[in-house]
Amino acid sequence: MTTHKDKIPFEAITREQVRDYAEASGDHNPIHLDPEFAKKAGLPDVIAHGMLSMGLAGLALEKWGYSMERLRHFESKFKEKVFIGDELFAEHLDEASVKLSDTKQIKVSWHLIKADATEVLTAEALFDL
Amino acid sequence: MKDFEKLSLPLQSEKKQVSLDEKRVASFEKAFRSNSKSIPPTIGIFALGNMFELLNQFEIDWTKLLHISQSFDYHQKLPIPCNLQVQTSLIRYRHRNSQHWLSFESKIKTCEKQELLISAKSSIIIMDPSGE
Repeated sequence: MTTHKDKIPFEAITREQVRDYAEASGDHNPIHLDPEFAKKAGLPDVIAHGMLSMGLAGLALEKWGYSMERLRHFESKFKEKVFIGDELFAEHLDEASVKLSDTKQIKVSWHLIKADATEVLTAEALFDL
Repeated sequence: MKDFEKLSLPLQSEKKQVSLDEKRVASFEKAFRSNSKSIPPTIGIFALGNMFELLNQFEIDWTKLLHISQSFDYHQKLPIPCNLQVQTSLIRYRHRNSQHWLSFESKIKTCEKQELLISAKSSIIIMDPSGE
């Protein structure tokens, strides 16, 4: 079953936002914070934390009206690095009822894409009904 | 680099403690540029620190990361505030086509009662520049 949900835009990723996420998460890996380190690793600049992208994907679920209190499973596959200045969008792909043993759940599929439609991550979540 | 293939798995990280309180939830809210008060589903990020420490311990260059997938299962609502205990295990290692293939499992529990709140799985592929 496909249920229409609006595409959700997020503000362009900034260095300050990546620093804020490092503070919140405790992940101070230099590949996210130190441009020189990133360049030595073969990247043009620092990259945003994958979990920042995943967190934005989680925020989209809430904006689409899903109850995070009922969230039971959340998974994602990372497809592309996110750089400073990238604009991200969450796009709802599918929603379906599933039955696991005696429990009925809703399975939601969506993805996070850049402005040029490059897929950043794909995600699936299960919610209790 | 040490030889993962000779390791006896699972290989466990140390147990780490993390405090989760209103201040930390607010810092996630700020980072996501959101006014959502719900705890982010990615709160299991705390498990990742352990994962990278295991990689560093065995001298794998994680900057050569090619692929990562993550999943979280939520067993109970996170109480706020709470002290969490996080432990990660390397459960599987393969080396093929000049790549390290690693699978990790993490458990996030309450420190006091040892109640399982979140279990996480991570699969990562890292290029081995030695070409071995």
